[in-house]
Amino acid sequence: MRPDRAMWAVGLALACAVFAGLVLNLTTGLTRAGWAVTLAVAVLACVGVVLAVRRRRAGTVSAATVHPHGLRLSFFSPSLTAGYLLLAATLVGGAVWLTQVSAGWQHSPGFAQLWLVPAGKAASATLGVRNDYPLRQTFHLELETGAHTVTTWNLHLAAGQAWQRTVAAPRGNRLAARLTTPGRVLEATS
Amino acid sequence: MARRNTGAVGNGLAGSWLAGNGLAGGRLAGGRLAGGKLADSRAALAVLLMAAGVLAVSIAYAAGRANAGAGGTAHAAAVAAYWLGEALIFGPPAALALGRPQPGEQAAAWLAVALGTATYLVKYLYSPSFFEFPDELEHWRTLVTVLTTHHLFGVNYALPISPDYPGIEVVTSALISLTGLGVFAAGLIVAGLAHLVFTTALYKLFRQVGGTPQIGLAAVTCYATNPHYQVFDAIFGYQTLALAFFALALLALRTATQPVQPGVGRTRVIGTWVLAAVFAVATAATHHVTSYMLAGTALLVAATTTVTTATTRRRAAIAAPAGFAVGCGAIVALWTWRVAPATVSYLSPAVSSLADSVRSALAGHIPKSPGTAALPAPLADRAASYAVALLIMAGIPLGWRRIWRTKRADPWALALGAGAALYYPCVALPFIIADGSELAGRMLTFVYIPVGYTLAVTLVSWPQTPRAKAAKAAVVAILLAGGIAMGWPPWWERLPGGYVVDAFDSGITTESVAAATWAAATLAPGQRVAADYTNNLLMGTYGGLNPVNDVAALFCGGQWTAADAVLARQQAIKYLVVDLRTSVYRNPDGSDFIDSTTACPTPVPLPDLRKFDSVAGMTRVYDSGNIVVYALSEAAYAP
Repeated sequence: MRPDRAMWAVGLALACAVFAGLVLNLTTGLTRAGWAVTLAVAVLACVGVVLAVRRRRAGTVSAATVHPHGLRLSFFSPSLTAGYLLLAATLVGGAVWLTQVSAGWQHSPGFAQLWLVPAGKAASATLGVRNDYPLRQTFHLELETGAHTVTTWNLHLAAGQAWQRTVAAPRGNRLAARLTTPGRVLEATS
Repeated sequence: MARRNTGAVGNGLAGSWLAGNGLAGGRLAGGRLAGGKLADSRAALAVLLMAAGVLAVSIAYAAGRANAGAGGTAHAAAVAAYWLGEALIFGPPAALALGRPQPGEQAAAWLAVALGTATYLVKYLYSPSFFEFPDELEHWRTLVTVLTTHHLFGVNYALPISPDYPGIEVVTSALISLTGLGVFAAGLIVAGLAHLVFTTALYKLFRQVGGTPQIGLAAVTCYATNPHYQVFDAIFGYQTLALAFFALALLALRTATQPVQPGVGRTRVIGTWVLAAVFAVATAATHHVTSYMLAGTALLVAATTTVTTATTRRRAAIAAPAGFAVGCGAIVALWTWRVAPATVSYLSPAVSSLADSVRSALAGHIPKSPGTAALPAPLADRAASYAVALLIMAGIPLGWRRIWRTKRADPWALALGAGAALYYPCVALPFIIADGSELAGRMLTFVYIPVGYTLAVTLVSWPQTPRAKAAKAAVVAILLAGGIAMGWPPWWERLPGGYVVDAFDSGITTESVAAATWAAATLAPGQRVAADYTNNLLMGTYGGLNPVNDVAALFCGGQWTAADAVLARQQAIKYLVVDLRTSVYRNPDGSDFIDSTTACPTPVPLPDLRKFDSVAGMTRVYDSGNIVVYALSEAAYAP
């Protein structure tokens, strides 16, 4: 394999993909079906070109190719070279494995999300909580209007689990939500 | 003997049109001349050492994650492992390129590929799970829009110009559609392929112009030490793919402009021109500045052709590169006019700022040094930055001398030599304009191409004495250290793991991403939002909101003033995102906000951030502990 041939092939494929995308944008859109048809057309075109070139070359008598010893470069062939490359691949594999493992070491201590958002024009609001702690947590949620507590909830949420309700927002009064989380109190108003 | 033979075969001008031309498939005997199997095994050993370097960097990054925020011996060991890894990645190709026996044709080409692979792995190892670099997130947003709408040229509030140059998003969406891969995996593959193609094409170009695989490998190794090559030019961003097209277009142009040798069919020459045109158009559709650089480079080659060509043949010789430059210019103009008119408003502020600064500098008014609030870089980093600048400035004239002596008949060699002169204004930029460091860094991606070649021809010409070998090693070490010191990631996040408030990737936490994801699910898209740097980025990408810059004044000060209300109204701010961590930590860059007009202190005083709770017309719609989102109603705009 020659790196420069691979370079031209990959580069051309990338450029053709850009052009195909621009054409698809004007026609069917960049859908899976559109790309599949484009790929099929591209493969057929490549096969056609290869066949045409071969047919053309078959009509000419080409000079015999001479490969004096040493001109045929054999980057991969000697066993020592292959051994080095195999070891290199192993080291790179180890590097990738280590980085994948270590990426998981960065654990957030966890947090919770509280939101209270007006729900359209109606006199209501969306109240929500999400547990982003690594483990199941219990939260105490209070909803107040003015100085009065409207209602309270004790929420048991698994990691990544969210809870959401639509609550009535009394006209003229401000809603306030208070969420007690491990070591912290979150507040939202509407 | 070996050197003479290789040079004769590989010389782009004197040698065969086929020689070194990947299109024509010419085979060279470099490997045999360099010692055949011995040279192959030496190259393979170099690849092995480079792989060991990648592993050392991976260990350093893992140690950085394990000891996040900790200093001391563990951190020092991790930093040492990082530098050892970088030295192992760059050292072997440099040693083979600058030592004896010189590398063979295939060995040098594969070593260039290995260099591209190893450097891309370094970038991947830094952020192996998701896109973290700011520009990657901005292009991720464009890609998601393409995948969602199945159409191009949508809206991207975080980087509005990105949808107008959709090359990388088109290719990635094709890969995702055809394979079912995830966005991150597909993006990694496309960016990685582009990085490899760019590196290989650069090697081929240097090799053709330089005439030997030795110069090709030396030049591409020198180029790879540029501050942005390893990370910024390998991220999932439009420039990464455009650089591949740029290099291929230049390579095709170089091939097409060489004298046609007997036996070479007209079809092949036309095919080469078609390739040059295809890659030029692809560049124009992928990245604005890269397409301008392509046209500029062709113009430079046309200019140097006037010097190298006899008067009688001059018109014909100039026609090819000049015609290509004009064609590129026409394509760029057409794309800008029909598809990307916003490019003008996107780039014009930077251009006018540059022009104003240059005018001021010429008039003797040097602006105040920017970034005075920033933490000073470590002494070693600063020393490496200055050393590499001095080294290159001193080395370029030596390269010019060498090029003039040996290559003055080749317009491409002269063009590369002339292009290296741009390094001097790049060094001056940080001293004459406010954000000159960033502009200079971006320019170095292109300027290092001629610089790499010019340095390489000098280094390769040095003798193989022990003293000269030591000097070559020192030069490569300074180039590498200086490039890393000035490049990405910056010194405070060179190892991943720790949290740095409003830094580039180390400022991104799951809590910030969660807030932006909540915004995308809950708030109407496109609403204008003011936030600190990291949340500004995330709200514009993950959040689908429209982040507004230059509104740091809203966050400064303990009171919500009439001026704040007017500014919020003028900018139609609908949401304010407050990250309370900005009151705890100091941003090493000197500012937590994207703002060219207001300098907020860092850390921001906590009362400044708490004031919003008592502002009439502001409701606290979201709270996650560190991040609070306020919604502004009409009352908040009342002065």
